[in-house]
Amino acid sequence: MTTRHLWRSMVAMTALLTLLAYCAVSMDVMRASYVRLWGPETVSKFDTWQGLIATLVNTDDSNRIRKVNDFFNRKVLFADSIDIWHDKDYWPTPAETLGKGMANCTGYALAKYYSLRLAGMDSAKLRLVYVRAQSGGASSTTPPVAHMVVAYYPQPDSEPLILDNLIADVRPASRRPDLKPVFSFSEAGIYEGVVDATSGPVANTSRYSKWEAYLNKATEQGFR
Amino acid sequence: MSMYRQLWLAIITSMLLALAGSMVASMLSARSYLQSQLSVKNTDNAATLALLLSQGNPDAVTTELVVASLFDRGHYELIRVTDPKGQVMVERLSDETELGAPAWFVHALPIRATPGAAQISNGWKQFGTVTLVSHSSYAYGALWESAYKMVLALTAAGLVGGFLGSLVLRRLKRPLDAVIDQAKAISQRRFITIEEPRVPELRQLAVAMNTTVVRLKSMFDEEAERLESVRRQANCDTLTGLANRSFFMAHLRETVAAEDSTGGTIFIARLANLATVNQTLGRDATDEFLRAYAQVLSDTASRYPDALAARLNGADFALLVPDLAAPQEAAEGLLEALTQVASHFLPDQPSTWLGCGHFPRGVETSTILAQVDVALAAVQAEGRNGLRLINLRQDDDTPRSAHEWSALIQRALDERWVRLVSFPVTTLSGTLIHRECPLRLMFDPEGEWQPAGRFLPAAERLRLTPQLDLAAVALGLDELASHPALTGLAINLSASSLELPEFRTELAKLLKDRPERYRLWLEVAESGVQSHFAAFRALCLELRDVGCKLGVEHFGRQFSEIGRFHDLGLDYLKVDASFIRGLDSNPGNQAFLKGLASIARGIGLQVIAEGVTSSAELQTLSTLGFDGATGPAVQEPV
Repeated sequence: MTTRHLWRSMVAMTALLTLLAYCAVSMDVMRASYVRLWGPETVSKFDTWQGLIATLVNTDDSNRIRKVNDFFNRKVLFADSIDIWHDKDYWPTPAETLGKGMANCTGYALAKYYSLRLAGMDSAKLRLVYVRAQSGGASSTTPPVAHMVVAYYPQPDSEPLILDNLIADVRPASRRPDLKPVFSFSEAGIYEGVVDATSGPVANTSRYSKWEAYLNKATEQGFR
Repeated sequence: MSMYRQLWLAIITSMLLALAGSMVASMLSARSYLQSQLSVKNTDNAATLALLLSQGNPDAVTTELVVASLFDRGHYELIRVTDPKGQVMVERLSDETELGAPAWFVHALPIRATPGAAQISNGWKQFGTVTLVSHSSYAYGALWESAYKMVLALTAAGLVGGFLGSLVLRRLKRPLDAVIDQAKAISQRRFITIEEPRVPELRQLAVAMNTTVVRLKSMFDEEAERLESVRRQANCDTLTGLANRSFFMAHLRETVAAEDSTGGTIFIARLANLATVNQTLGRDATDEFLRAYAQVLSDTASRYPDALAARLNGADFALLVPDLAAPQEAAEGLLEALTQVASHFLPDQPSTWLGCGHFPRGVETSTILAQVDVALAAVQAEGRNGLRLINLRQDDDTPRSAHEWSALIQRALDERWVRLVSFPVTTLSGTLIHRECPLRLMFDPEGEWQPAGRFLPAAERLRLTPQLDLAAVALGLDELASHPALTGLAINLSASSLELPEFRTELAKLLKDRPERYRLWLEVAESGVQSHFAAFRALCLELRDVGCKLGVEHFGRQFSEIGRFHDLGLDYLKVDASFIRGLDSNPGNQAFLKGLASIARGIGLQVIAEGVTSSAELQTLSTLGFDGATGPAVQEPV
C-alpha cells in the first residue's frame, strides 16, 4: 500500500467516524427528548423507529421512501389535530407523533419528512405539499378537505412520488387524481434564511412563520 | 497635570465613552432590527409571489409579467426565478445606485438581509424557485437619519453634561484653589486663614491648616507681647514710658551719622526745681506731673515722622525731630504746651527751660549736646520759662524753595547724575549677603555726590520719590546685570512712593523679565511701613510672585506691630541701629534682640543688625541668633 493510499483511507475513515459520532449524538438528544416527553416506559417505540432509520442510512431513495411511509402508516393511527393536541392545526415533531401513536395528515407528513432527512435524504428532493383532497376520488361529490403530503422528486423536473396516509402505498402523483397540489415548501429557502439558529437575526419567535417555528422546535428536540 | 485638568479630562472621556457607546449600541440594534425586517419582508414576499404563480398554471410569459409587475410596482433590488435545474428564467435587477446614505456609512454599517426564496410549482411539477431581495436604500436612509438625529441628541446631551460637569468642577475648584492659595501663602511666610470649604475632604485640610496658622499666630502674639515688655524695660523710662537715655543717645548718634540722615532738631526740656516740686506736691502727685509732662512730649513727637521723645534723667526730657523745617516755631509751641501742663501742678512758678539745637547730618553728637547745654544754661540763668535755639546748620544748607528743589532733582534725574553707593551686608562670619545701595544725586556737573538725607525730605514734600526710587531700582538692576557674581543688592524705597498705585505698577513692570530681579532686595523703613501699611501690604502682594526679596529696615521701635507682618510674606528685617549701639553692655537689649531674632526666624525672616560700630557688638550679635550685620564695624568681604 502506498503512502497516498494510506493517507486517503485515513481521511475517509476519519470522515466516516465523525459522521457516525454526529448521528449518534443527534439520536441521543432525540431519545432524551422523547424520554422527557413520554417517560421511559414506551421508549421501545422510539428505539424501533431509530432502528429503522439506522437501516435506511445506507440504502437507496426508493427503499427509504417505502419503508418510512409504511412505518408511519402502520404504527400511527389517524385522528384530527384538535382531538390529539387540542389545537386545530398543531404541528407535532416526530417524537411527539411516535409517543402519541396518533397523527393527523400534518403529523404524518412531518414525521415522514424528518425520518427521510435523518436517513440521509437530500432536502432538495423533498417537498411538503398542501393539497386539496377529494376523498373517494376526483369525481366524488363529498366536499374536499385540506391535506398535507410529502412529495419526493427523484429529479428536479420529474413527476414526484407521493407519501400519504389516505392511501397507504407510495404512488406517483399522476396516480393520485384525488389530490390537487396548492403550494409546496422546501427546507432550503428557510434554512438559508431567517431560521439559521447560529448566525441569523433570531430575535423574537413570534416573528417566525409557523414553518420556521416548527423547524426550530424540531431542531431543539434533536431533529435536523 | 493639575488635578482640576485631570478631573475635566475624566469627565469628558467618560462622557464621550458613554455617548459613543450608546451611539454604537443603538446603531447596531437599529441595524439588526432593520436587517431582520428586510429579511422577513424578503421571505414573505417570495412566498407570496411563489404562491401566486403556483395558483395560475404558470408559463414563462406569465412568470415574466408577474415578476415585472411586482418589481416595477415595489421596492426590490432583485427578483429572480430559476427553473428546477437552476437556469435563470426571469431576472429583474435594480439599477438604482442611490443608497440613501453616504458610502462610508453604508460601508461601516452594512445591512445584510437574507434573500427570500420559495418554490413555484405547476400542479405536481416543480416549476422553479423564486429569489427575492428587497431594496435596502430605505433601510440605509432610515438608519442614516436615525444616526444623524442620534448624533444631534447626543451632542446636545454631551454639551449639557459638559456644562453640568463644569459647574460641579467649579464648585470643587473654588475651595481647592483657596486651600492651594493658603498652602502657597504659608510657604511664602504669609500666615493666612481661609473660609472652610463645604467639600469634606478639603474642609479637613483647611481646618488643619487654619488651626495651625491660628496656633502659630497666638504663639507669635504671646511671644511678641513678652518681647515688647522686654524692649520697654531695656529702652524706656519706667515712669513715663518715654525712651530712656541710652536709647535716645543711640538714636541721636544714628540720626546724625546715618547715610539717609537729614539732620534734625533736638529739644531738651528741663523741669525747673524738681527737688522742691517733689517736696511740695508729694511723691504721687509728682509722678503724675511727670507723666503729664511726658505726655506733651510724646504727643508732639507723634506729630512728626520718626520723632523720638525721651526722658534723659530725673528732670531732663528730650525730643528729637529729624528734618524739621521751622525749629523756632516748633520750639515755641512745645514750650507753651509744656508750661501749660505744668501750670496745673505749679501755678505761678517757672517750670520749663527749653534748649534747642538745629543740626545737619554729620555733626558730632557731643558737639550738639554741648551746644544745647549752653543754651539751656542761658535760659536757666534767666530764671523763668523760656527757650533758646542754637543753629548748627552751615550756610549752604540754607533752605531752598520748593521750585528750586524740584528743578535740581529733576535735572539730576534727566542728566542721569545719579549713582548708587554701596555698603556690605554680611553674615556674622563675614560672607556677603548683599550690598545695600543708597542713591546719591549730583546737582551740578562738578558738584559732589549728595547723600539721600540731603534731597530726600524735599523729594518727599514734592512727591518726587517715585522717580528717584525707580531710578535707583533701574540702577540696581543694571549693577546686578553687570556683576553676575554679586549675591544681592538692596535698594531702599520711600513709603510715600508706595502710596501711588502707578508707582507699584511701574516697579512691577521694571522688574518683569529682568532675570536679575531674583538677586534684588527691596526694603522700606519701619516708620514708613507703619504709616503707609495698606500701601506696603499692597506692594508685598503685588511683588509676591515676582521673585525679588522684600524687607523692613530700621526695624524695632514699633516692635509691637510685628504681628501685622505675619501674612505679608516678608524676607528679612534690618534691626535699627539704636538697639545695636552698645549692645555688648546692654543686657536688656540683648534679651530683646534674642527674642526678636528667634521670633523672626520662626516665621522665616532673616534678621540683620544695622549700624554695628564695634567688634564687641558684632560678637554679641552672634550669640543672639542674628543672620547678618552691616555698619562701620562690618568688614568688606574679601
